[in-house]
Amino acid sequence: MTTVPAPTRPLEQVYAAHPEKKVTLYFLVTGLVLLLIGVAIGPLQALNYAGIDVYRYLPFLKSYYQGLSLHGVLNALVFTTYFISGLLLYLPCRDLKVRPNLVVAWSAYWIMTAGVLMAAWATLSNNATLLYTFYPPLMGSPLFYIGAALLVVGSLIIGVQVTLIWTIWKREHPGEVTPLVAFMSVATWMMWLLASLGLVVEVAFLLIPWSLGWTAGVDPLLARTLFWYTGHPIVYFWVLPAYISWYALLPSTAGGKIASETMARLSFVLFLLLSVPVGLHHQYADTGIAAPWKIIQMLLTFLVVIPSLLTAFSVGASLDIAARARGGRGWIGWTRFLPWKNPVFTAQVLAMISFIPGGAGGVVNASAALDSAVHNTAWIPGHFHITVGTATTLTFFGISFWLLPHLTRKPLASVKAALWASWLWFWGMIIFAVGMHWEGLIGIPRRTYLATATGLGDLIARAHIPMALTGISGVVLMFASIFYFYVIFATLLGKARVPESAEMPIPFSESLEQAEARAAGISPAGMKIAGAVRLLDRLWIFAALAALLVALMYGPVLIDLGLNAHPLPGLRLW
Amino acid sequence: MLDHHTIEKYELGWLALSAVLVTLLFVGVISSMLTQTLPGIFTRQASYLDPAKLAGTPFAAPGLKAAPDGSLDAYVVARAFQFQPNVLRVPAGQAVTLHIVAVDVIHGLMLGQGNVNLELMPGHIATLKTRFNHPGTYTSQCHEYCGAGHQTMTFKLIVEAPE
Ligand code: HEM
Ligand SMILES: [Cu+2]
Ligand SMILES: [Cu+2]
Repeated sequence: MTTVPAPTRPLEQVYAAHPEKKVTLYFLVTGLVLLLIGVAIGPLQALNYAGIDVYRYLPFLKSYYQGLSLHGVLNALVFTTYFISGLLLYLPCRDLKVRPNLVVAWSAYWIMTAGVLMAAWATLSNNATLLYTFYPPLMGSPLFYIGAALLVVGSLIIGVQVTLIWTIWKREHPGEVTPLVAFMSVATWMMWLLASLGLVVEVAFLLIPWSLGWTAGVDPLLARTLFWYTGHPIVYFWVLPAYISWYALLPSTAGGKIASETMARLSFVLFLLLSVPVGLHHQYADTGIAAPWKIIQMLLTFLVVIPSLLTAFSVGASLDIAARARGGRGWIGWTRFLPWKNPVFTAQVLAMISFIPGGAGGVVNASAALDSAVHNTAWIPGHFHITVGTATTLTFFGISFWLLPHLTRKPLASVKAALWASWLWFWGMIIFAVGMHWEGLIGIPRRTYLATATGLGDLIARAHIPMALTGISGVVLMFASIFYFYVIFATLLGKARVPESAEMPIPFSESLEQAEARAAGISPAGMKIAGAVRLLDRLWIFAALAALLVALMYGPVLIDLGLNAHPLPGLRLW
Repeated sequence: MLDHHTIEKYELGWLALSAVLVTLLFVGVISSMLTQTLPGIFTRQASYLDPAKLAGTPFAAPGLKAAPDGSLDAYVVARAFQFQPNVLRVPAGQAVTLHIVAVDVIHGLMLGQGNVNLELMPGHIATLKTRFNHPGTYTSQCHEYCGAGHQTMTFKLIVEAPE
């Protein structure tokens, strides 16, 4: 008797129906591999903030600051940019049922990758130990700046591509309203196109020519202001993709509905309008910038809190709907009816929970008077590890638990390990945040090779408990990372693929309005569309208004700095 | 289950509440700033000093200086990887005008008292008048990454009780 071997499908067939899956997968996996390197250094830093020095045993890192440069750049800049470029290319295209031009998408991928390799070379050879903010007059290798520019250019190519795809879609579908996920993605990209300008100008016109020796100096304050022009809205570029998932994908994972589409759209339009002209809140402590501008941007920063509070409401409501649909009841008891055994769900809900203290801490930082108590202390990394480090990163983990199986048709290697990764990451980061915020309140500065600092004895004497917590969190997070990357690589390296019919679907969710219409027997085409939704769909107009607001809020500051520039030569002090 | 109109009504209420909270927050922070919780935030003038030319300025010999009329001025220079002076003694309860400048790269200084937290941009002099009321020794350190020796760049403020 002979057995006929099951027909093996050539790999490419997995992408046959949707070849954009492959480029998406490349973006995601490259981002995750680079995250692995960045995250591997994290626990060492946590130990440093516990007063334990492991750096002297590490031959491959020249200094704490070289490690910190890698950690900040790879995690916050590189991983996020790759992941978001893949995700916010794929989702809106699927939502609009349009295939993106693959040559463009692949060029973006390779430009980014070339840039990352250049910057990595410079950093690994200790020629760009500048930390991820690369403030002049510290001057690194030109390769670092060129690489950073290419990374941004890659993301801008995808941003322009998606925006154009949507613009053409609108023209071809007159009278139709953009579906929610595409709408949010385009709003996010428009925000990023506007927000990245500062960094692009800083790097292309100031830092690259200067590091190549073509110009003699750079004004540090002008460069820093351009950096933070992008440096704050970049956090919305990190968090809005997570919001897209919470608003529009998680309800389906949880078994519920989007609570209100109109409000979801409103909050994204508010983000587009208000996200950018707020960067001066990173410069409250700077000498050389007048107080009134700082205060106006403080007000704008507070206004961006509003769409985040809307998100909290909507997302909470949709989880409540989901749980009650599954039989949940009571004030708190309903939460037990949510699908906690599903890591896609659990990772994202834990990410949201971490964002409650994360957002509250952000309000503290944004309040100039309170900021003076925490600026540049360990409080700040405490804050952003429960925002970008958890709200965004853990959400992306949750997304990867369905998206990688969806793209590859390989089942998730281990649901258990994925759940462990999620819970350990969440608790690790909560402990980390307690430790670091507390150290900061005692006055311990951030970005410090603390384990060898000699002059901080009195502060350290008061910080034993928070330092111990920080050290413990580093160990917990190391285990979380091991579980996570095990799941990811075991999934990717797995051999079995499910047939096309069993492909993990994209969890696009239905809104309550749509569900009600369906129940009433109204076809989707026949649904009455609220006037507000039509108005909000004119994203180009809101983008133009946003640009105008930016010009008003930043124009005078930048012109003044440009006219009074005091260029300084570069220094290498590491 | 609630229908979407009801949820939207609640959410609009929440939106209004958020707007009110944000307004209150802004008013609160501004009032705090107006009552001088942040010394010098409104009066810091934009004065620039070429960091290569300290000679002939008070920063050439930094430290605490008493003017003939008894007013106190403290001059501090930040350079990699040292503050000059790195111990500053001031009398408690007396007005002191701090003048701090970085001369190479960006440095940062937070004093353990009086809400002084500065990002020192090279050449831009931070000038602020304040008063330290609580005697004691306050340790701090440069808080903006400035290079390999950043963690050694400590600063002590000693507020001395009047005899
Ligand atoms: C295993 C998990 C992680 C641990 C234990 C960890 C630990 C730390 C510590 C202790 C610091 C402070 C270093 C200092 O100020 O001297 C730090 C800085 C930082 N971390 Fe993480 N981290 C982790 C993951 C992440 C993730 C996932 C992200 C972002 C996606 C991230 C982004 C950053 C950034 C941007 C900085 C600031 C670097 C700088 O100040 O130049 N980290 N991390
Ligand atoms: Cu910010
Ligand atoms: Cu320093």
